[in-house]
Amino acid sequence: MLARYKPLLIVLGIVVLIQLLLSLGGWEFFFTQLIMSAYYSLVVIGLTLLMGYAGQISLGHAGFFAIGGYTSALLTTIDLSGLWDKGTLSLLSSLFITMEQKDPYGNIIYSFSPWVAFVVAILIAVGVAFLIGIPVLRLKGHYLAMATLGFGIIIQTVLLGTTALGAADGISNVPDFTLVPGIQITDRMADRVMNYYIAWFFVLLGLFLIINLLNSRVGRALRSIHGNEEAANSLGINTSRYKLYTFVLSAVLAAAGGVFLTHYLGSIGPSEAGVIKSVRYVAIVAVGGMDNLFGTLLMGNLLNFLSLRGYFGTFDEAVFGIILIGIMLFAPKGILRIKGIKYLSSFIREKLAVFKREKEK
Amino acid sequence: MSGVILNVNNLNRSFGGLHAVDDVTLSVEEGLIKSIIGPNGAGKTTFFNLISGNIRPDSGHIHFYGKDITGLKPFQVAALGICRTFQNTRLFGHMTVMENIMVGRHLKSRSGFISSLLGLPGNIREEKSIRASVLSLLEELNLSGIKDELCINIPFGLQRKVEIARALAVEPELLMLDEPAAGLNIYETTELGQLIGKIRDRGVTVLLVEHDISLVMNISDEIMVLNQGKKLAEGKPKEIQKNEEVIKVYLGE
Ligand SMILES: Nc1ncnc2c1ncn2[C@@H]1O[C@H](COP(=O)(O)OP(=O)(O)O)[C@@H](O)[C@H]1O
Ligand SMILES: [Mg+2]
Repeated sequence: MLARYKPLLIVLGIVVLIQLLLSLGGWEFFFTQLIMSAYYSLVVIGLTLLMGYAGQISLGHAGFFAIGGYTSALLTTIDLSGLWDKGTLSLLSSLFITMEQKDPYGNIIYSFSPWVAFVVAILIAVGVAFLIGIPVLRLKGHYLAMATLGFGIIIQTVLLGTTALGAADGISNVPDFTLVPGIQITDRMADRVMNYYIAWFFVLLGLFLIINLLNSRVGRALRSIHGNEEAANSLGINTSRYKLYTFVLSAVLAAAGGVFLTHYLGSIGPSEAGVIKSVRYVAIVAVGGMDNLFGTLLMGNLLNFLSLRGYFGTFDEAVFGIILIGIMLFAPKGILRIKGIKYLSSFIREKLAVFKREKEK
Repeated sequence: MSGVILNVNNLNRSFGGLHAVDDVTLSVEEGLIKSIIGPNGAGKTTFFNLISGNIRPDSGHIHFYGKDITGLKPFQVAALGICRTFQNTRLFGHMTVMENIMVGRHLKSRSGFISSLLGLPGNIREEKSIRASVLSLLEELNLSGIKDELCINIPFGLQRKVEIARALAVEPELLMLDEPAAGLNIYETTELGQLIGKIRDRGVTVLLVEHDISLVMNISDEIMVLNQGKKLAEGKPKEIQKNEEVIKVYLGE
């Protein structure tokens, strides 16, 4: 019964292994990019569900990431003293609704606490996803791609044009996110390993939810929509509703990634909403094999890590475009299913089976 | 005499200048096999699409058990107890035979989006019962041997059968089959005829569009003949066989 969660244990095992390797080898400087990649993979797994399983494309998911990140950044940095008096603010602080902190000039200000900001960010993402999803998901194929692309562009344009959101500079000095006392999302050196595990905790949580969904009546319905929407509908599946809910869920995951990464880095800028970012997510899902949750997870972390380490140099943005084109042309099912790799993996599996049999003798 | 399950009144649908379904009136009695025949392009599939909600009529009404279902969406029509197959089979190719039929249990189960996400125990129990009912249906239809095959990988004759099995999993009151014998060999067609008979004997009303005339004559309780969107004749197989107009436009061709 719990066989479906086995992949989660494997992922956890690999995550722990990497941590031990890096910590023991003294390569802790890699953690920063690994943590960032993990948060980006929240967008990736949501998009995998939407694209690979429900069969709907979105070229606007960076927009949802930005909605999450900016909402949280704004709410946790604004000065609320104009809104309420000191007494009210400290009362709200004791209820964990607001939080006392120092602004860049050293003055004490009150802002919303990160958990409140997180909840608001998710609610806004849900609202926007519904608003956008209802009209847009009627479209199919490249019309849907263009409409979602348009959404991403609008979000970025709004961010660039709004001074309250820092325009081209974005928002910085975003405080750490204390999840529970003693555990906070922060880029402090001393908390690096802890933050690596915090990030992966959220990714595993996201995977857990998606695995549940895929193994349910609803997951089957989603895959059937991908297979043949008209037939699915004729079997009693409210296809537009399911597509919409999936869109919303993937938007929530993207927004959550945005919130966490923004608190981790302490800042967010308008480039996070950019078309380039959205294309990057789609490229990752494509290269990971579309309906292969763990393939896209692996590719997402690998490619984002390499990119964040700067290994792609000046070609960084082009790399993802080229990957996307290459995949569409040569391996529409993702590179993990290219013949050679498939052959290799079945070869290894065979050898292992033989080895096992001999050992049993 | 049992009641009327489906009532279609003066149904019309045009595509541009083409009157695909032209003022068709039809009533289907509960528990019978009613067939619709007619030359290619007569409007049979369009007529099905109108009933199942895949397209909307220009005018006219459709009542199911007395309830007006005109203009409802396909999933709403299905929820009321009408299920259909398609002229060109529409299986979910990259899902297994078992999974395809499990999708057919959608309406008979209720786990929602959130409870599915959380993997609540009630969900897991429901999943088990879906599995069990599908397994017994597979057994009954002799499909157990291919249950784990992807649908794109099974032969065409079996695809037709799986599509019918999937529709049966919905447990509809009215089953509409659009040319289920197309592309089948003679043995498969015979088996299909028996299956449709069995379905009727279970109490499911069948509305059948079919080109294989001997199959239609053998199993139908009643037949309607469509020609150029219009109802040409309606009656028992024997009457249709004798109807001169029918012989002229259809059987004689
Ligand atoms: N979606 C559509 N758009 C335009 N014409 C259509 C459409 N569907 C069917 N037709 C036309 O309507 C007529 C009836 O088609 P159809 O119902 O498929 O006939 P049958 O199933 O009896 O062979 C045909 O001339 C066909 O070309
Ligand atoms: Mg037809």
